[in-house]
Amino acid sequence: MKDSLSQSSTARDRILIRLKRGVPENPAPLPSVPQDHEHFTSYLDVKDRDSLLGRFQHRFEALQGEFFLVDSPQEAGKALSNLVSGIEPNRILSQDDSLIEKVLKSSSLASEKVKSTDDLLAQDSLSFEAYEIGVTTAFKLVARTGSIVMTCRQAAGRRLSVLPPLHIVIAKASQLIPSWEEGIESLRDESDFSYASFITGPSRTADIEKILVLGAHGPKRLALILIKE
Amino acid sequence: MSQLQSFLDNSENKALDEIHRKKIIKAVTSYDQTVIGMKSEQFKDWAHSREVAGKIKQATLDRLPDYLEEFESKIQARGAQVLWAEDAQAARSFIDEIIARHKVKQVVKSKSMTTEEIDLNEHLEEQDIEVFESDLGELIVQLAGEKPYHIVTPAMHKSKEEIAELFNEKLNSDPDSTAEELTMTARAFLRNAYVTSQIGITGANFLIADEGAVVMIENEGNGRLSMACPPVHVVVAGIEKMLPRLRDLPLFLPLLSTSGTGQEVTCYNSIIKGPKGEEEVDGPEHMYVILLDNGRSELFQDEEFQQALRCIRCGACLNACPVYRTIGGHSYDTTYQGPIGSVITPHLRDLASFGHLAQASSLCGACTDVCPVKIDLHHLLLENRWRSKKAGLSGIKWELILKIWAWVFKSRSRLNGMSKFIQLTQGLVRMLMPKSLREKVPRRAKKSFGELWKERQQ
Repeated sequence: MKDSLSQSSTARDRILIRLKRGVPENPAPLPSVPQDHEHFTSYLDVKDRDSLLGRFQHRFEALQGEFFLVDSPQEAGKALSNLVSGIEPNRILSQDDSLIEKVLKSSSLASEKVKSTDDLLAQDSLSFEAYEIGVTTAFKLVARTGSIVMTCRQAAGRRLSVLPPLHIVIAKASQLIPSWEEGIESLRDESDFSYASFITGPSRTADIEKILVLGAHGPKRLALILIKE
Repeated sequence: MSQLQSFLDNSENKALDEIHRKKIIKAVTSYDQTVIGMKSEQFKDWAHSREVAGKIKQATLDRLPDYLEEFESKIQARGAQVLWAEDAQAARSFIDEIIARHKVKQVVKSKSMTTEEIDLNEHLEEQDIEVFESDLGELIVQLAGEKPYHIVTPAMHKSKEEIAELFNEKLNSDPDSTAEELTMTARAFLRNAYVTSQIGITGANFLIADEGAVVMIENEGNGRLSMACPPVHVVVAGIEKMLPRLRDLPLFLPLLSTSGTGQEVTCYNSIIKGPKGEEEVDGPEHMYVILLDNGRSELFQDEEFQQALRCIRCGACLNACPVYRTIGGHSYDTTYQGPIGSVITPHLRDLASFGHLAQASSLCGACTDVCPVKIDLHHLLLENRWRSKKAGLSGIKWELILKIWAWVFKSRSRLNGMSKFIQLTQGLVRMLMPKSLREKVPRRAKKSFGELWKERQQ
């Protein structure tokens, strides 16, 4: 890469010189950061959890997300049991996380050894293709658009939340936030990640005659088990 | 054949092709309805939001060199390598070197107009590297051996039946497949490609200066897979993709998806700040960001045209354009079609070959009306016409006709004289015309308006 590096650095200088010639002497000030309440009808300035929850569920379900509201990790276990019924436990992969572990213990998978990403790491073979279901936590939940914010930390990497055909997210109602503005702000605080994603519904496409089809390349189904406590 | 002549021929063919017209009208009508609905559903005041977005983008351009340097240093601090490419050739050689370095045999790509701009697929295939286009629309045009028809919906010109036939031939699927079955065929076909490719190549929708991040939006998940599975991730991004702050995204992401497809936000909005971190489970070991100039820095220095670099490639001006709706995307023979393509291509490529595109406009301003960053597109089209004229590209015949026209119209008596001349000679001229034309061309009225007016005054 040595050659190309020196090529790149000459090119860099030349590009920047040309650009600097086009920069105005007295540029207009940079407008302040756009505010959600200034732009969006669906801006939520209410902080109470019920209206955030209502809005989130409404948007999430409108996009065919499967939403399960439960009171406790024990109940979450039941919801999870329903979601995974019929699937071989060895085709389920979960993020290594204490909340997920608690939920797993109350589910039909309690007596099974569900593999976690850490197990895979230990074996040094991250072959994800064999898995039908990926189970992760979330970083935040954005009420305005029904989006799940995830960094590669919550998803335990980049693949677990996108490669398996069913992605199950287990989260708490306290993670609800009103807007993308707050979502982005909290990502700025959480600087230590290489990848983050706002996930809004299961994978989709309308490339053929604008007909909506779910499950283009990412998960065909996206389920959220939200624990109220 | 000259670029102009083939443009005229293709445009005529497409304009008269009723089946083509039906497909395009169906697609843009469905687009229009969704987009108009989402604008009023999501935005308090669309006009205000695009005003703000246009200002932020312009202020970004005003400081572009600084932001590029900030972006570079931030993303390099996290282990990505930034490569600056002055033109398409330079970008291709960077990719060649990356390929040689990582012993790449197979590439998986997500949709990216910049890679179209540098003809990357053809270049890689010449070297026997297998390229998998993973976006469904891109896969369709790749299998058909075509170029994208539209910057956002590449296969907008293909009916379900045509795609079913294509997939049947190339991927062995049922010839009567539904849209869902076709999508599942593509899914199955590409599943393995993510895992077996040594490199994933993607574009970028935004580059963020203050966090040193690449932002990519999509619906299908192929982009996410392309930067999650292969050990190397290469981003090819135009230098104008910059936004100053991560906090600009809550406005720009909905703005782009609303204008692009009429969605509140797209399914996946990814923020990438580098290759796999030390503590992280997976992700590419290496990340390269190729910053593509390819004529942009020249355009940047042009006071009139700099604003065209605000473009966020939403495709709204294509859908709105009565000319695009009539002649279709392929007639332009450019990477970027429609009004924005007709504005920038003569500058990014050359005026002599692409200046004529500015004539393919009714100057109705529909493009300017829908632009989410307020680029004054139809005035720039007019400006391109003027540039072509100044460069002496209009042709002697046209120049002569205009000169005579101007000379006649500048004087009342010459105009009256011309009118009389036509009256006297029209009998003879009409005789020389073929019959079909004679039936169409009306006779000059016995008396002109001027003559009638004079009579009235008396």
